[in-house]
Amino acid sequence: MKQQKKQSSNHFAAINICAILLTLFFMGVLTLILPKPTVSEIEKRELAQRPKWSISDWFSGEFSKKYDAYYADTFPGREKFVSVSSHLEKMKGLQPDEVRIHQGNQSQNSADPSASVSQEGQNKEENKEIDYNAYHDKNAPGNGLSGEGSGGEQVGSLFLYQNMGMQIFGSSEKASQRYAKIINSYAEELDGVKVYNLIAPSSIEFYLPQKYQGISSSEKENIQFLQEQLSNRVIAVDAYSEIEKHKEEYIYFRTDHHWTVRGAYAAYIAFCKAAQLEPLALDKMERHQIDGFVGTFYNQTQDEKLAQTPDFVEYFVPPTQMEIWRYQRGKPFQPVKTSLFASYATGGPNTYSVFLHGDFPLIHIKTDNHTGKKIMLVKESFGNAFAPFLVSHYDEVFIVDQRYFELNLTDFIKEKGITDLLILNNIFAINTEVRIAELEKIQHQTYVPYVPPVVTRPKEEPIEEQPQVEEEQKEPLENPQLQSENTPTDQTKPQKKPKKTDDKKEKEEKPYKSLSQSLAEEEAKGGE
Amino acid sequence: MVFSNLFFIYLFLPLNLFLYFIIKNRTWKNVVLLAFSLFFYAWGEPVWVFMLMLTAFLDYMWARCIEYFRSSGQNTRAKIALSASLIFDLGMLVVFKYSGFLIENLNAATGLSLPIPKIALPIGISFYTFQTISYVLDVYRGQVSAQKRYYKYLMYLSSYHQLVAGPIVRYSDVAGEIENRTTTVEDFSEGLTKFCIGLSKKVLVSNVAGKLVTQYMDAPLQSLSVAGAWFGVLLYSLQLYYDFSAYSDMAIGLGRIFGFHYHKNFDYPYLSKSVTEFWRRWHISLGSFFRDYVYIPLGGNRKHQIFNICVVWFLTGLWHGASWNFILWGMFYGILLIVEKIGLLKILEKIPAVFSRCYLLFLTLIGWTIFYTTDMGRLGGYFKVMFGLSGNPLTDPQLSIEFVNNIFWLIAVIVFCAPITQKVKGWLAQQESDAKKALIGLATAAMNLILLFLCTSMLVGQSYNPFLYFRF
Repeated sequence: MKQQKKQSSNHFAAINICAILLTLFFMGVLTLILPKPTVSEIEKRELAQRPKWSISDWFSGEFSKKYDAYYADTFPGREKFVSVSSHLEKMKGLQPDEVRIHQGNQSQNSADPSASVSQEGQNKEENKEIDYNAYHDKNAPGNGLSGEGSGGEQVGSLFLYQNMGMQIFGSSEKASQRYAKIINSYAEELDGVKVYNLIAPSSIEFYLPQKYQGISSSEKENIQFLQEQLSNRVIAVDAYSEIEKHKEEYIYFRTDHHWTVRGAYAAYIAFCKAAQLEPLALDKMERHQIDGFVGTFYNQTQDEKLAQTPDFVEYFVPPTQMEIWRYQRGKPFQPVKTSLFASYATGGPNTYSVFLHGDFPLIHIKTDNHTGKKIMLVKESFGNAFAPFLVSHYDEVFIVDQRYFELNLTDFIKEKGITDLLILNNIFAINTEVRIAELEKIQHQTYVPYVPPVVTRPKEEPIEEQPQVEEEQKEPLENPQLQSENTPTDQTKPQKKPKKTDDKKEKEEKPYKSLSQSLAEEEAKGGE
Repeated sequence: MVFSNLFFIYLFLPLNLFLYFIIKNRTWKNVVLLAFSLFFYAWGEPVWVFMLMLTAFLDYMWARCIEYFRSSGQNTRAKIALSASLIFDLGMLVVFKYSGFLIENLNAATGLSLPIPKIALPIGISFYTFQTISYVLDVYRGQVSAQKRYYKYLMYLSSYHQLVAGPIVRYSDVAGEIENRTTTVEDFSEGLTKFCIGLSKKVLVSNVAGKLVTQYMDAPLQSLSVAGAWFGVLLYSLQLYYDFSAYSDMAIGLGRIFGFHYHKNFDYPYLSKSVTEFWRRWHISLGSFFRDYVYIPLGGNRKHQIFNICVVWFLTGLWHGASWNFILWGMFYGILLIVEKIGLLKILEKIPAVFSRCYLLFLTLIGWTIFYTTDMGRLGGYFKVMFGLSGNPLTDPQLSIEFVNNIFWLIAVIVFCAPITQKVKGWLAQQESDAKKALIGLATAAMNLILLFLCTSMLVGQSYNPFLYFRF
């Protein structure tokens, strides 16, 4: 009798064993035999590739890291599992008014400066990814802000309201003061140069529902505070009020943290007021539109609501005749002919790069305006949508990206006989120590040849296996490998995509999906 | 490698199970387990796996020496061998884990500026060092006989079940099972269930909580509200418990599948009614290690008990990390335990349970705040916010949104801090009829599959999940 009972209960335990083991084995076999996808359509990125085994990679731990990422990236039914996980996210609670908050990419140990060395070991990996010089936009939510300055910490979070994302803003008086100090010192040092300061507010300031006021610090107050810190040598551009007037219009993207060209245009009007210029009306320019832009907020959150209603990117081509050169990193003395807009862009996550082709250390524009004035714009990525408006008013426009510029800026300004200096940063940047430190650094830096950070991402298979000619086409595949090193989490995505842009810049190419195509197109357009 | 990793779940584990159970020879079974364990460790620590092997080898040799000296009455030599073993093991731990901390403090105290070494801490070193120490000491004390085969000792020490984050399994507990063990069908089934539950605790609770925790505990102090500060610590307490007990569950579950019976490491600690009880239910294997190898040898409660408690809790704090806040955290508990010993415990037993539970939870939250915050200045500021001394608002809109966004999850997570599963299991075990048993069998399988599915989705969706306890 007892024997029998034992038997029967064995029987039932066996159900459990069989069910689980069969699942494990079945899935395990599937992961081995199914063809491996190389691209994720949903995420719009290439997936990690199977790493090649080598002794050095094994002992450095690179191999296992890459293999884990490859395994997760190519897991059978991955996209279905991902969508289940985003549904689970929603099932954790209620979303009254379709409001949700998406946490930023603060790893558990980020707040832990004296954490043990092992953690630093792990962080090292991450820091490779978050190479401050390497990716295109540190102002993307959660980018470059983590742990840097108290203002930055909250920035990692997104406030999602129906189909719109907004970065939650946290101000830091300390950082703003430091920012003002550095602007003042520019003004101080550049005698005879008009120094303008323009701060771009962000979307949360205008679109946060009344009910949730208080979730984000006031950008207006922060701008006022900063304005008070500026010396009278600095001309403050009041972009805020001008943008506020247009807040019913499409001035910010819903799926991306940038302003639209219309937001930038409002700031341009404000600048014209400060600089006593006559703004060029929008209808005097040639309007273009690119649909299907799903930006950083979507990359960060994978939120379906955002994806369902993509943004569109407008740009306005000014009628001015001009010649344009850009300088890429590491080659500050070798200009390459370029154009104001990357007009071949076709939508996708990088559509904002239609402005100026993305971020370059320096872009130099010569026009036939004959005004006797030369302006330099020092900016992060918000400046890209703004910069094209300047060409109507100056003989030369120098567009400097504070993150990548490699020369001594003060000397450069004097050398080129620049008459106007406009420093344009978004509100997050002026509260972020990294951004401010960059402004300080470029003021007097000595040029050190830039070595692209290839060390951190050994190029393997794709390049070794492909004949030289195809190398460039294969280039995008490098990106997922990067991704794989750090295993993709939705928050890291926005950093990576831009990185792709940056990689390509190194190759003098365009940040768009089909690289060969864009290359060909650009060739055709030549020095537009 | 970690358990909450797709590669582990769907390739490593099935392959390990397949090879282990298809082989009938006992020696080869051990070899398979050893090979998989070393691979598991080398996947994350391709270099330090050799140090693990060296440590195992040295202690295997020392233990044999000690046994030989003891049996031939050469007690002095046995002592020397024991000391040599301890010096090496603890020395490695100090070098790898504490050298940076020691030199930092030496620099601060003396004004020197010695370079601070940046040594990467090998995964699990805190755990396996304690395991190997307990083995050598037990052999010295004659409580267990020395292992005759190196590969078997190495198999014990490197066993991937508990290597990375505990529990601290003592050799004496598994000595018999190393030589001879069987896996019954029940063991196998329950092991799998335990593993699935542990995995879910890690992936569905701890990882999710972790994301929320930083939102509050790392927030700039001026933008934190009082409720937000408490909410952050509450989430952190949940995260720690679910993370650590998840790991123990998975280790115990895997152990059972392979025929090992490890002791439980967590026993619903947040239901305790005193700090004394809490520490009998939280990380039991660590507490008992310090009790058996430090507290009692120092004299236990027979002589200078207060001093002994202080030493133990200083060490407990230090074990958790090389930073002053961990020491402070250890001493915080040391003092509470002393206060309870002196008389508070008797009061706590008399008052209604609800008060003593609140007392314990309150102190635990305070404790975890210290545990989390390495920066002492920030710790003070955080406490000020918690107790409303810095004029921060009581609550903030972000908190209320996030609270509502997570409300179902939060309720479930708190409810499962109580022994619900244990109660259900107890009730199930009483069921006699075959029909009910069949139903239970099916229900268990279904639950496990659902959990596995959910965990897989989350793991595919969020591949970022380092174990918190790597730090130790």
